[in-house]
Amino acid sequence: MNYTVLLLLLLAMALYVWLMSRYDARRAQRLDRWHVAAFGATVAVLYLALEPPLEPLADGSFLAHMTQHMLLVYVAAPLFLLSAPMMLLLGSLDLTKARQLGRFLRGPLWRFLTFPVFTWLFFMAVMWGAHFSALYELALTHPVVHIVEHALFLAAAILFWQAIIHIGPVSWPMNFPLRVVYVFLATPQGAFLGLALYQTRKVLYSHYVMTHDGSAAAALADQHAGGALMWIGGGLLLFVVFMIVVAMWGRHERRLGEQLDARLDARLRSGAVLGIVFALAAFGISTRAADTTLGQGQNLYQIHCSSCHGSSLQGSANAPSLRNVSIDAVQFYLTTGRMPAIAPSEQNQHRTPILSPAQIDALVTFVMSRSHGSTVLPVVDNVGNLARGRALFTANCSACHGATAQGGSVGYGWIAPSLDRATVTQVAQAIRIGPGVMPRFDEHTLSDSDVNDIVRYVNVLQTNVPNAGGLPLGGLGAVAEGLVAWVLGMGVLIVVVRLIGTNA
Amino acid sequence: MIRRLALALDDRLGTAHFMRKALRKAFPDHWSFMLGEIALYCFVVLLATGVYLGFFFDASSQPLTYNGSYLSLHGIQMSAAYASVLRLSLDTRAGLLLRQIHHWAALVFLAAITVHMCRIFFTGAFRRPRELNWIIGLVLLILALGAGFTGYSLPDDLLSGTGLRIAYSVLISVPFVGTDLAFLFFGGAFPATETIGRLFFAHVLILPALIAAAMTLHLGIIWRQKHTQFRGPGRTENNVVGSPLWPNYAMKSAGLLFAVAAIVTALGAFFQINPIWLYGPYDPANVSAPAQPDWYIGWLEGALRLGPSWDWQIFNHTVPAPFFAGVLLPFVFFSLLFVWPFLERRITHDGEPHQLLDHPSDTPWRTGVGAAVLTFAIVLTFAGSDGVQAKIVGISVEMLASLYRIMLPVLPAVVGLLSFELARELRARRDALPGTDARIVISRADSGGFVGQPEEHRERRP
Repeated sequence: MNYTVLLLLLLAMALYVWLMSRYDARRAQRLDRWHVAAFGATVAVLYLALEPPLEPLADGSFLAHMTQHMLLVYVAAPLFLLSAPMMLLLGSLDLTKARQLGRFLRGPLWRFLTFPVFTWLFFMAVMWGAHFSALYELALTHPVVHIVEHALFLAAAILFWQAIIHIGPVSWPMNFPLRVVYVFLATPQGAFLGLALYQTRKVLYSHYVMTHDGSAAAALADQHAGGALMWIGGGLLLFVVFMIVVAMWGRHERRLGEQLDARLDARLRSGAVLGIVFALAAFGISTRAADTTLGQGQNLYQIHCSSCHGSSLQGSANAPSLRNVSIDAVQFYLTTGRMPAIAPSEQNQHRTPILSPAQIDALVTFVMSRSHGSTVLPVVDNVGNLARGRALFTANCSACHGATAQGGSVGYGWIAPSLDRATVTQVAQAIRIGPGVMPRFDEHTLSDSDVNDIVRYVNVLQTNVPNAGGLPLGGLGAVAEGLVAWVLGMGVLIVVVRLIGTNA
Repeated sequence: MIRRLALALDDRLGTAHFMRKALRKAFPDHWSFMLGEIALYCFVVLLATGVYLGFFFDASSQPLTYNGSYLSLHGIQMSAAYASVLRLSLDTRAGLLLRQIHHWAALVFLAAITVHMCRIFFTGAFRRPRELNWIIGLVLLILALGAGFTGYSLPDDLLSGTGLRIAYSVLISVPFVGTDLAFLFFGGAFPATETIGRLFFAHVLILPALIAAAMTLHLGIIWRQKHTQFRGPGRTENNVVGSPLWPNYAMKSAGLLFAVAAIVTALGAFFQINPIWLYGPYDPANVSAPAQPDWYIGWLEGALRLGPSWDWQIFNHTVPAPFFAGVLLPFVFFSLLFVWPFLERRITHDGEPHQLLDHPSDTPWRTGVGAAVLTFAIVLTFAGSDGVQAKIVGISVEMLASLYRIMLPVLPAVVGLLSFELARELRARRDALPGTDARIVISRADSGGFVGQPEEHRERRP
């Protein structure tokens, strides 16, 4: 029994439970219990890998030692990440400490360490380097080096897996196709290493000759068995991960599809619901109608919003509290289809709402009945001063959304969306609430009449008046122009000279 | 009538002898010999459209209040230059069409120069005796880059002003003389009222005149030295096989002129380019996204984006970051191109005059180096628009920039080695083919019959 390891594991468990209690208290919400389960599993796997009966065997047999490493690298590391350590840490620290940690996470060192190309190469380098260098032999004879080696394995593996396990803050978010490629490229590397060990002609680590009673043949057979385990066992584990990532991709796409279905259904229903609402209003029972709306809104809230924003609008780790939300924000997020969100980790894009206008009204009424935020709606008349609007747009908006309002990328994976689909009201609301990373422009920065002017100009850009000069090439400017010049200009001219000239 | 005119000219100037020779001059028929001509005809289109634009452009930064037909800019203060381009684009008959043709022709002009230069490089056409023309060609490329950039900067809109601000920052980063250089080109600290006037003068007089002069020299030297040609039956170091200038080649070339004019006109008619009314007048406080240069400046933009953020202190003198990526890199790049013919001669010890071209596979190492340098420039060009790509592909711009930083050394090495190997493989295969060299030349024997004998053994490089 290795008491140091046992002690460390117990300490880690105690730390996790302590952080968890702080987190639960601070967030007024429990950490998802499957994170806790993942942590339990991590500890169990680590115990299995580093304690008897495996540990004493690993000293004498390469096969057992390889099993240990596989457990650390392919099972313990991903399980540890699934236990959401970073989210837990950020959520349970004091505000100043959490800010310091956040600064470190956004800093160059952490961003370098977690860059997917680096993590992938680093993981591979550690795996290959450890087996084909003196480090391994050294580890077998010096316990301290052995601990360092295991720590290195674990660290490289955690860095490797964090690139595709997106829980808590993510430095380099990758979409599903990229994650699939990432895992896919790792599979042959592991297999090659296993195969290389499987086909070795001589014993790599003389230590094992000693533990096999001086028989080189027995040590070589043991070495081959270890290589085979890495080749087949490692391959299978990576294949399982690969299938999981593909399945998650599929689920993500299916959700997008379901949203589309729901949107179509909503469109069919919305006519009927609107009719009923108008009919009730016409019968002069508006009070009752309002009550019904409130009830309907509450139902919709419980179905679509409460899982992230909490059943009493208190918010969660994934979503902000709505207790002080303004009517502008609620309307904006719902009418642009950004809410209900598809996945909390992604930037919400403008899409056709899955809720009908009547449902949105009901939801807005409900949320505003519980929120202390402003209920004043912007007055947008779309008759603002065009030239002032253009000047204000250039000064405040075009640096991110582009001179043609076609949008652009603003760093760290965030996108300033194209304004093509936004209504005048939505543009005005976005200016006031600043969705995502967009700054909030309050009345002191842009007055109501300023907003009206900007909205008017955005409307002119949307309708493209006057669209002189032909196809606008996506409003992307010189990049699209260069492409056209090369393909339709130079490309066609090369074809022309090829036709005029000969090939001799 | 023409006959009488020709006779009259000959009578007075004795032109018949020259014309008889000139009209029968042989031009190679291979299509790649017409790439440079595309550039020439683009220049013709640029001159023709540029003259028309010049009538309407007001090269002045005098502020005025706009009251033309474009409502979104009504009552806005702007420079006379920007207002005149607005008027030209939106209120002048055929103004926008001609401006767009001019701009498209400029983009194709630079593209044609690039492709032409690649052809010259990869076939070894720059070797003795044509080193001088290679250098003149490079000068033409630099002049064309200058003409392109000054033209892009003239309208004084928000986009071109952003480009000028970058150019100014790069210029003042030059140690010791930077500030003076910047003042020379800009006429004062940016943004200066003098700038537009100087740019205009450079764009419509100095640069086109220099380009025309260098082009004349370029073509004159070709005329004097005659064309190179690819290897083939009957082609030697001492002859040129091709069509005579009149009527065959002249017809082809005239056809190409019309094709170039037609294509850039079609681009100008159907595709919007640089809609300056959307960008608005230049205001140093503002910037629009995506702010991109025309494609041929993209590699410099990319170098600035990927370049290291060094700020070196040398003898109490700061050498800021833009110097390394914006000045040093293009300087090294062009220096390498300028000295390449001489460098290559040092390596191969081949100072012989060459009239026959190499196939790229004949010289794997040259092909490899060329492909690597080209890839380097292409990676930089793509890195210059990483923001736009990040939006389209949906990954963060930082990740993309990091990827480009890795690709910048890696990709040229990979592409260079691959091209080298591929060329070597091709050469080995061709050399292994049986009977390719055993061409039998049949000629009449003195005795009256025919004799066949193998052609002179083809020159082959090691």
